[in-house]
Amino acid sequence: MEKKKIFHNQSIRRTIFIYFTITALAASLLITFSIYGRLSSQVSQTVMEENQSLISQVARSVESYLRTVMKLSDSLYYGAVKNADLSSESINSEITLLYDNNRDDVANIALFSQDGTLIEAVPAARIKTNLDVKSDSWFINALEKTENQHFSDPHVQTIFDGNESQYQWVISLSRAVELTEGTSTAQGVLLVDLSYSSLAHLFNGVTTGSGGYVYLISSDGEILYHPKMQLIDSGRFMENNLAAAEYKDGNHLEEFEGTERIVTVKSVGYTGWKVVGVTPKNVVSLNTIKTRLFIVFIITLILFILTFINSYISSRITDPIKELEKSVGILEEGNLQTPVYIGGSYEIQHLGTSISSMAKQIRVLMNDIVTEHEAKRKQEFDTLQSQINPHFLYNTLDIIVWMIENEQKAEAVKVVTALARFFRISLSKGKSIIQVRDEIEHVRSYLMIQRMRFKNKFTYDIEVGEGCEELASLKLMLQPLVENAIYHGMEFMDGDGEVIIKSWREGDELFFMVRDNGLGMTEEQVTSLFSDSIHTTSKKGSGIGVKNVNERIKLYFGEQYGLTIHSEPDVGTEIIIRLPAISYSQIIAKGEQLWK
Amino acid sequence: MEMTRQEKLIWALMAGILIILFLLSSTDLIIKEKETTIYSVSVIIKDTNDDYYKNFRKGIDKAADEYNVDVNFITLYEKEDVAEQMELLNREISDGSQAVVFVPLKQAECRRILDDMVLTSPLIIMGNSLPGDWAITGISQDYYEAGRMLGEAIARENNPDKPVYMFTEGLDFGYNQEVYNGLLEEISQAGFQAHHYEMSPSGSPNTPVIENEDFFSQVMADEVAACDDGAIIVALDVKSLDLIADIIADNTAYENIAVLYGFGSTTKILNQMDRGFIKGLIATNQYDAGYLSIVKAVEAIEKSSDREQIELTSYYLEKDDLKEKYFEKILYPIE
Repeated sequence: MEKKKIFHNQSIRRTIFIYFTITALAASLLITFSIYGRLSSQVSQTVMEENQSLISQVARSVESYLRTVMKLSDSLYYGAVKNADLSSESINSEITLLYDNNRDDVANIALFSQDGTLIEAVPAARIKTNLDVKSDSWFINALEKTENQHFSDPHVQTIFDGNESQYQWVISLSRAVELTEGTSTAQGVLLVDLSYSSLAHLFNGVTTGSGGYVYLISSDGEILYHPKMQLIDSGRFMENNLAAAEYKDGNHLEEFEGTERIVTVKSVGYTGWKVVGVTPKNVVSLNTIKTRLFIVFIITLILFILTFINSYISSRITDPIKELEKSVGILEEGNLQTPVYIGGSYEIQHLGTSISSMAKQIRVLMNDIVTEHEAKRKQEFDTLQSQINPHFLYNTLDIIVWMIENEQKAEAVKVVTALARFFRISLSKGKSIIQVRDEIEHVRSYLMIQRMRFKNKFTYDIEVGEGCEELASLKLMLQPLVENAIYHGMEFMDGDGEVIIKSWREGDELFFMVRDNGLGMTEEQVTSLFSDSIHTTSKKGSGIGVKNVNERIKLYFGEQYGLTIHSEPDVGTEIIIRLPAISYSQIIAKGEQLWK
Repeated sequence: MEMTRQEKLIWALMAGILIILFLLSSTDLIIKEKETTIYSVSVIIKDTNDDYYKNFRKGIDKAADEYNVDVNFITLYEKEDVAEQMELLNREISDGSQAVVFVPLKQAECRRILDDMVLTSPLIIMGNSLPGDWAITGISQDYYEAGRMLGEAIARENNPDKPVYMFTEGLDFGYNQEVYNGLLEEISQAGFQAHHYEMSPSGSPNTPVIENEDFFSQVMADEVAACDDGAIIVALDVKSLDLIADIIADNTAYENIAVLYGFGSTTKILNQMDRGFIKGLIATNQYDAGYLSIVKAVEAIEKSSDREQIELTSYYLEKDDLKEKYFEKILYPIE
C-alpha cells in the first residue's frame, strides 16, 4: 500500500528510473563489497604467505649462523682441544686461527678447566680478579649436560679484564670438553662468545610491511633480539613475546594493546628459539582512508554509469508513451485530424495504431453524424418549403373568386396562371436546386399575385443579368425575402411600395438583390433576423424566414455563401444573396448533394 | 532525451561528487600523503665531552632514528662556563633549532639567565621543569630522594662512627645541592659525621679553595688515609665518583679504608664497581632519559603535549645487581 502511495502520481519514467537505480545501487554495493572482501582476504593471504616466507628465510639465516658457530665449536674441540696435551703444548695458535677466521661473529674464545681456571683465551685476555666463573650459568649448563652445546641469553660479557669504558653484548656458546694433561684427562668448558651485533645484523632492515617488524625469542619467551629491545626494557614499548612463545609455527591473528596484528612464527632448529614477525592488520586489510574513499568512488562511478544508462533506457521506453499521450491529449481536446504518434516498441506502436484507427473511426462516425444531421436539416427545410402558408393560398383563391364574380375573367386567368406557375415551381419535382430562371419566374408569379391582392399598392421590377438564368439557384430563396419585403416593409407604408429584384454574376459568384423602400430596420432588428430567438415567420407569409434561407444556402453551397442585409429605418432594406456561379446542368450531372 | 532543469542539476551534482571523490581517493590534491618531516633538535650538555653521556646519547640516537630528528649534540668549550652554555643555547635557537634539550650546568644560575631571555623554541630541561613559557618539559630523577636513598644505604651498611667524606665538583652544579641535602639529612639522622669537599667551592665557609682535580687526591691523602677505622666516601656527582674511584683503584692503601658510594654511572664506573672499588651507587636509566628528551622535543615542536615533569626512577645498585637482567639492560644499553 505504501509503495502504491510512493509511486502514486509519479510518471512511468520516474518509476522505472527509481526501480532501476535502486537495483543498480544494490547491485553495485553487492559487487563492490564482495570484490573488496575477496581482494582484502587475498591481500591478507598474500601478505601472510610472504611473511611466512620472509620469517622462514630469517629463521634459516639464524639457524645457519648458529650452525656455523657450532661447527666452529666442533672445530675448536675436535681440532685443537681434544688431542692436545695441555701440560706440554699450547693450543693458542689453533684457537687464534679459528678466531681470526670467524672474528666477525665471534667476540671471545676461552677454555676453562673444571675448577674455573682460564687455560686459554683469544683474543688474549685475563679474567677479572676474584671472579669465579663456576657460578655462571653457561659454565654450569655445560657441565650439567656434557653432550650438548648450550646457548645463553644475550648478556654483557664481564669476565674479562678489558677496556674499562666499553662493554660487549654476547651470546655465549658453552660445551663440556675433555682436557688432556699428560696422562690424565679432565673435564673443562669451552666458551665461544658470539658477538650479539652479528646476530642482530641478521635482522637489520628486515620488516614485514609498513609498521611491521621481526624479533627473536628464546623457547621460554625471553626476547633475544627486538628492534625496540631497549625501549621494551625501559617500559616504553610492550611486546607480546610470552604469548608468541606459545604459538606454533605459522600465522596467528592476535589483538595486543587494542591493535589487531598478524603474527608469523618460525622455530629455529636446535635452540628452540623462535623468529616472530609482526604485521599490523590494518596494513594488510586495505582500509586506509584513501582506499575507503576509492571504494566509495567506484560505487558512485558504477552508480553514475548505471543511472545514466537507466535514464537513457527509461527515456527510450517512456518517450514514445509520452508522445502518444500528447497525441491522445490533442485528440481529447477534439482535434481528431491530428496525426497520432506511432513509434517506440512494438506494444506502443500497436497502441498508437489502435488509437489512430479509433480516431479515424470517431472521425467517420462524427462525419456520419454531421451528414445525417445535415440531411435531417435539409429534410426539415424541404418540408418547410413544401408547406406554403395556407393564408397565401386562401387569399389568392379569394382574389380569383372576387375577379370571377366581377367578370374580370382575364385578370382571373392571369392570377390562376400565376398561381399555377408558382406551385409548379414550388414543387419542381422535389428538387432543391433549380435554375435562376425558374426561381425568378417563381418570385415573379408570387409578386404578380401579391400585387393584385394588394391592389397595386406596390410596384416591382425584376432584372436578371446576362448569362444568369442558366445558373443554379436555391429553390424558394427569393420568395421568403420578397414576402418579408411586402409584409414587413410595405404593409404599413403610406406611399407606393417598390420591390426591386436583381441578379448578376461577378466572376465565379452569382449575386441576387432584393430591395424595398419600406419601413427598414434597425441594426438590432437586422441581427435578430439571423437568430432563432426573436425571429418568427409571419403567419401571412410562406413560413420560410430569412434565417432559414441563409442556413439553407450555407448548407447547400458552403459557409462562405449566404445573405447580407443592409437596412435603414424609413429608407428601406436591401438583401444581397451570394451564391457560387454554377451551371445548373453541372449540378444535374453531379447531383445536388455534392455541392459544397 | 530532454532533461528537466532539476535532472540537469542532479546530474551535475553527481558528476561533481564523482570528481571530488576521485580527487580525494586517487590524487594528492586534497588528502596529502604524510610527508616525512625532519626536525632539528639541539642537545646542549654541561660538559666539555660526552664521556658521562654515552647511554644518554644512545637513547637520543634511537629516538632520533624513530622520529626523524636531526640531532646536534653540543658540548661546552670551557669547563663550568654557564655564560657559554647560555650563549650556545641562544646560538642554537637562532640557527634554527626547533627545540633544545638542555642539561643545565648550574641550575640556579641558568634559571636566572633564562628568566631574562626570550626563547622562540621549546626547551626540554634535563632536570626540574622551570617556570616560564620556554620550558615545556622537565625530565629528571628526584635528586633529593636519590640523595636520601644513598644516605639510607650508607646508614644501613655502615657504622655511624665512620666519618663520611662527601665530594662534589660543586654544590651549585647541576642538582648536586639537592642530592647533598637528601643525603645529609639521612646520614645526619643516622648519626654520621659528614664532611664535604667541593672542587669548585661556591663560598661555603668550611671548604678549602683548591680549584683543580688534584684537590680530591689531596683530601683523600690528608683526611681519608688517616682514618684507620675506615671512612665512607660519597661522590655526589658522576664526575667526582669517577675521579674518586680512580684514586682508590690507583692506591691500594685506600682499599681497606675507604668505602665508596656515589651518584651516577658510566661503563667505567660500573667496571670499577664490578672490580670492587665502589660499594654502591645511585643510577638511573640514562638511555630512557635520552630517548624521552627527543620524544618530548618532537611533541613540543608538534605542540602535541602539555607541559609536564617526568620523573626518572632512581636505583641504588651494588656489584651483585649488575648481573641482574633488568639492570644489565638499562646500564649497558644494546645499541
